Amino acid sequence: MSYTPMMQQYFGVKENYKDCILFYRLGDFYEMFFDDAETASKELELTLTGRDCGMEQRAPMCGVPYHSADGYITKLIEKGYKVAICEQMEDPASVKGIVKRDVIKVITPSTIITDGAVEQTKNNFLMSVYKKSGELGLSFADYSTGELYATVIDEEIYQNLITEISRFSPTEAVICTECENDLNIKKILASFDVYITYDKNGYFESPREKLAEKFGASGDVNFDDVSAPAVAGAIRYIEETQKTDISHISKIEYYSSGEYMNIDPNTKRNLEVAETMRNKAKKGSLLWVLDKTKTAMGGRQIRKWIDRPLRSCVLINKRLAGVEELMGDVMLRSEIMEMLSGVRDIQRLMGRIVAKSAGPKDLVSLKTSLQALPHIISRMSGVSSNILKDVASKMDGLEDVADLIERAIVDEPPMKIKDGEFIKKGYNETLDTLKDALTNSKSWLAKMEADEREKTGIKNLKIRFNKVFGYYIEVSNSHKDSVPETYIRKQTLTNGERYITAELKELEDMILGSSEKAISLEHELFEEVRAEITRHKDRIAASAAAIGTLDGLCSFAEISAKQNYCKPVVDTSGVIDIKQGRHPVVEKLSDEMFVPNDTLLNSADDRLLIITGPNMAGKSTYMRQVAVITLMAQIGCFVPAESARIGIVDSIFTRVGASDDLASGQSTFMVEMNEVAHILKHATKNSLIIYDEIGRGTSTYDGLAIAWSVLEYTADAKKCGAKTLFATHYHELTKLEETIPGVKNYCVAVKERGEDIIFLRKIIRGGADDSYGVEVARLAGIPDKVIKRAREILNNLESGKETLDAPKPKVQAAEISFEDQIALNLLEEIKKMSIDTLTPIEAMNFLYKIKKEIENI
Amino acid sequence: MFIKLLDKNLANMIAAGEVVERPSSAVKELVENSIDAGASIITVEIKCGGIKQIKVTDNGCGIHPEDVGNAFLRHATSKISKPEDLNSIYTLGFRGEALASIAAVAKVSLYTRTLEFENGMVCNANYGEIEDAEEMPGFVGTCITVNDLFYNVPARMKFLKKDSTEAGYIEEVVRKMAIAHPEISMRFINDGVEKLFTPGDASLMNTLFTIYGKEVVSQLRKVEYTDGIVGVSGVISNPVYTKKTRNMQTYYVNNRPIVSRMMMSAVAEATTGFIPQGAHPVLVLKLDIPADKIDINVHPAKLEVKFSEESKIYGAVYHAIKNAYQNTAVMPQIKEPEKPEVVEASPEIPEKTAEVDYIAKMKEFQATKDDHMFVVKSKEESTDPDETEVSYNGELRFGQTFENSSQVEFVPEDRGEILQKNLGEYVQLGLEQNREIEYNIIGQLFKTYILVEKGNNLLLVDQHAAHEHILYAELAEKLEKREFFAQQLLSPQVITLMPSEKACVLENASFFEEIGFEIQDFGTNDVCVSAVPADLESEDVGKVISEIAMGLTENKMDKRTAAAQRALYTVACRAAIKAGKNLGDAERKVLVSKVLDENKTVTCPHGRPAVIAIEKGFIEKQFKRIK
Repeated sequence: MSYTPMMQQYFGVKENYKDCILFYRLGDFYEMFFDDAETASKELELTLTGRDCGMEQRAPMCGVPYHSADGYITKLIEKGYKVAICEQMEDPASVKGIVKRDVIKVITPSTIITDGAVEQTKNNFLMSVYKKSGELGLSFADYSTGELYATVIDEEIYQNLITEISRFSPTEAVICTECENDLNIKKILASFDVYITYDKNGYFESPREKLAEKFGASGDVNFDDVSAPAVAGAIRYIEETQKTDISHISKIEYYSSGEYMNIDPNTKRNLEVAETMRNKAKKGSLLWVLDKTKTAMGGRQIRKWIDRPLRSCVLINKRLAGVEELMGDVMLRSEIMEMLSGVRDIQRLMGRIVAKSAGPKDLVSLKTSLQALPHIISRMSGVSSNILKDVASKMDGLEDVADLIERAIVDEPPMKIKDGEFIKKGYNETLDTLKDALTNSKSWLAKMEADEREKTGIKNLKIRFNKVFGYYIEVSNSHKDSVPETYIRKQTLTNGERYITAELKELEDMILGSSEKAISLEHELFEEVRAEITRHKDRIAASAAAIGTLDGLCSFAEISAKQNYCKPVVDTSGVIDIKQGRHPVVEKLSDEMFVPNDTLLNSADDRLLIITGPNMAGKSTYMRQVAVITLMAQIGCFVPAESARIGIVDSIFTRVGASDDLASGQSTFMVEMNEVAHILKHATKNSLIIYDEIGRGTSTYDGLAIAWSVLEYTADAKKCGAKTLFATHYHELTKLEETIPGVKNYCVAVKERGEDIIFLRKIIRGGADDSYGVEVARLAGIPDKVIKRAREILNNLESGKETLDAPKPKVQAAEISFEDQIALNLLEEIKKMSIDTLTPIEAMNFLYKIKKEIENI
Repeated sequence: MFIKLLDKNLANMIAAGEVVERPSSAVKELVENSIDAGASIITVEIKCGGIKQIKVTDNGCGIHPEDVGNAFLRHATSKISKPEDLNSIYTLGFRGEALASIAAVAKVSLYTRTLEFENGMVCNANYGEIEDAEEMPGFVGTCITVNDLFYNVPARMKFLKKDSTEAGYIEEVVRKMAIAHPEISMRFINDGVEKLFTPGDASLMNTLFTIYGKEVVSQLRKVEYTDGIVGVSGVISNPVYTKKTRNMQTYYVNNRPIVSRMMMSAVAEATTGFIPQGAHPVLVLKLDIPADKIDINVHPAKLEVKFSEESKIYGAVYHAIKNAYQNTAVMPQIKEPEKPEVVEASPEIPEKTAEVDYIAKMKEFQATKDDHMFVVKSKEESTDPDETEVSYNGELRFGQTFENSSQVEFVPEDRGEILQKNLGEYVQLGLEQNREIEYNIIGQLFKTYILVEKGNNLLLVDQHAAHEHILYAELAEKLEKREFFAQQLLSPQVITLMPSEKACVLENASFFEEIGFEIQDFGTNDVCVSAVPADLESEDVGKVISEIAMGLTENKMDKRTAAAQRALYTVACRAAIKAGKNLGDAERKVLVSKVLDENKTVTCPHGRPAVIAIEKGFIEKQFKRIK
């Protein structure tokens, strides 16, 4: 027995796509076999069947219908699989034997472009990693929007790799062979849940040729040893899997890590920048507050800005100027935002159009979006800030493209396009003629029916159509004798007969022929329009990017106006001086009045602020707000304060909260120490650090010792010297203000009212005298009995009646041993003495000696 | 039962009744305090129509910690201190009543902080029981929370309307204040939903934009006028853009929102002739008057004011509005989309001959009707050049004079709205006079309208309204140039009048003379008319005189110019071609040419339009030729 020819063909194809689920086209279905079938059946909850394959046992099979495959594909991608689509390359009717089949594309997590598969306000990046001589070349490509970035990491490669992944959040990575052997890289990718693809087909080779071919020999391309292969790798991988035009990826945007502020993933999470800590939701994060964008491009742009805060005062101020102008002119802002809400996701539409997977509805979507452009451009004719002028100049009215689509495609194309009917009348003469002919011929049929009725005298003669016989003349039994000779009987029914005539058939051929011709012509015309639009992709891409920026700036302006933010003064002074600052998320979510607080940090006398006081009193919110305000300033947004001066920081580090990373087998303390270690290694004097109660998770003295030492090290301008907010429960540390320069004490104001304490949420100078732990516990709901006893114990401890200390064996042992030792020595001496040979004088001397020794103790 | 001094709390509760009538009054008082404190941001949040909670937060100067306890005391205020101060009140609050009153009927929590102090103070009051103030950190400014209003006065509670209605009143209060103070950013949040947010950038237009929207703002024009003492400023909507009610009108004196019938009627008077009867423009009218010329202390809620020189105020408002309307031609409505108009060369229309024919024909017609022959006689007239005073009593109702006339249809009040509703943006109540465009008279419709094709528009000319206006324009011009002419009647007419009418006519004999009538006493209830302004039919003479007399009676203190104008309206209306009359070609031509080629305004003196235009696009749309 051997496999059927079809099965052999299957295996031939499958051979090259072992790492994918192979969707094999059989008629109207995509079928999967063997292991693929079992996986698909499980993941997609489909029935597992079988198919005869030539062997004794049937081959396991599972399939989905062709027209609804997209949903299933998306599901598999989400579950972390790759899907290879294998189509029938020829029309089965026209071929003898087996029809040719080949894979037309491979859908991977980073290359899926079906509408709705990727969240609108998120990019979907493929990362390619190339390692050489201790350096990493990275490239990030979003196939759905056409964006392409590249950078080189030449030091601390693992640390910086983490930072970059954190900035782009890629869903898939293609890595070179050297990276494959690098466990660290693989571990890092795994920790971010990135799908790894290995280099099987030399993606990274001959980078110069590949880049020259794709991007031309223009000066914009960097032909070096590290980034070039990375870019080449990404391009080749996408080309190989998509097997289609990817010309919408048309330029490389280079950047260097130093351009952006460093925020490690922990800090991002701790500050709840893009999602909340508790349930990873957008609502309650900084992004949620700042994102008032109206377009998909705007949403992605804000995310980019937040992921990559700037370090250049010039660039920051440029953005701030734009926000300021939009804030000042409510009519301009309002009208622009209204116009923007009519703009769809141009970037992803173009992605689909270039990849030839767009339909007429997509084109119409593009048209309506482009039609908003001229209005926006004209409304912006009076802007004064540079960034807005830039945006306006980069926008192209694109009236020609919109006009083309307007002329060619009907305003509301049908869902199914295989039956045509989406090209507008007046666009193509031939098509119109064909359609006219169709309409005419249909009326000819009607006329024919009338004529035949007259000719034959059969009043209820009908001309009808069905798929089997085509057009036919139907006559009831009562009249079948009046039927003329020329009628050829085709079908007998219970109550009548059906006939055809030569004339009828001629007409039918013409109709059906025209219909087919019309449909295929429509598809041809559609392809023409699509190709023409593609030729303008660069103009469209530029306008789309400009819209993203405009939308982002409007969003910042809108929220700054509504929430009463102020324009920060951004410079390189190293001073962070915030007056009446507020936490943007907490003030929005909280019902209570938010108590604003000042902050002063600089590189001299106010370098490290120790903050003491009870929990739940606002310490954490205060520290987070300082970090968030700094972040907001550096992304070019206004900040929630009366006034703010922000000296640019190069990174923000946080060590906040207790999170057991049980999965990786680390306890709270271990995790904490890891994070502190990371901070101490990388913080510079231009960084901002937030320590929230380090030293927890271990015994009191150990914790205090570690906290103390970390504080000293951080505050030392020669060793670290970063601006730091240091929250702690160890009141002992407050004494350090007197001994270490640059350290200042602050605490949370608390008011005692009898048994109760009230948190005033105000930060004031000075050390707290109490942690009010028991009071906080009471507020939290600990039963009264426990609280009462706790108070008792606390009193005793504080007054010394009870001690925490364990018995002190070593100390006493030392004391006892010392005295014992002398006694023992004396005893030893006496033991050694031989009394028989002792003279009276010697005995007297010895007695004196002993007495003396004993007196010395 | 003895007469005893009311205890303070009870006294407060009673007074509260006057000051705090409903949640919106409390809001008004609190917001006024915030404004007086110099706030640049004021937020008003309410729950359940303000009855459950009202929270007013501002970033003003706050209250000094030592004063906080006094804030709730009655008759305690920081705003005036000497009797002389009452003469020059520039702050909004001054009676020392608001907080005390509110605190008497609600649970109030006051937080306030001044700039000089690190922390603020919190002070609570529960239905009159004032607690001690405590220190509390927070922002610089004040936040007053009013909970469970009127809980202790169930009688007042019962009189309150539904939550949504009360919320509506509050919204109106905030809106009026926001418009008065474009330099303050005002927010209004109702049950968690933000209903109002003004930018506070000192631009009245931007503020109105956020309140009324783009469409309204694009139709506004500035109002600016001063007579040296009284300053009038604000905005008013173009004549083509009007509303059914005065909802979108706000009046202010020294930035204080008030209700003033006097000002309203001045506006109405100034806009007659530009807008239809019963239509009201969108309006923000601010009066700036030296504080010693007004008395705000007259109304408990300070809603009304007394002016010391009412007529000056009236005149200022009248002229301000009139100037605003007269300075530019009527704007056309927004139509969409803007397409460039095709400019075609237009042949000269031989007007003169047609005109002569027309007038001759008119005269012929008149002559055949009655035996009176008219002799044209010019008459010099001198009127007092200094007459600029204008009357201000109530609204002028022209419509009433026409109730008896069956031929002239009375236009319903909301006609503007109906037109706009039915015909969408394509109908223009005004017409841009682009004289280069040729027009073509199609014919007469219903014997009332003349159809004209002009450019891309179908024009309908109301023959009566158009002629009325033409006549009036001619008469008015003559009145102004003081070259009035009365037409002597060959045989004087004897008219019977009501006693009051006759008395009025005789009293104002000189006035009637000015406008072209010669009337003498003719015993009992009769008068004898020997001359009339041109072109009145005999049966109309009596009616006209009656109407003019009635107009004069109703508006006793009418001054001459306005009365004269009104009288002329009446005359013109009577004398004009009626609706329902057939017009010959030549007559139509002349009429249309006078309307299209000459006239600057296109509403008849009573406010009805003389011409409406229907854009071609609109028609095509109806036939679904275009989308």
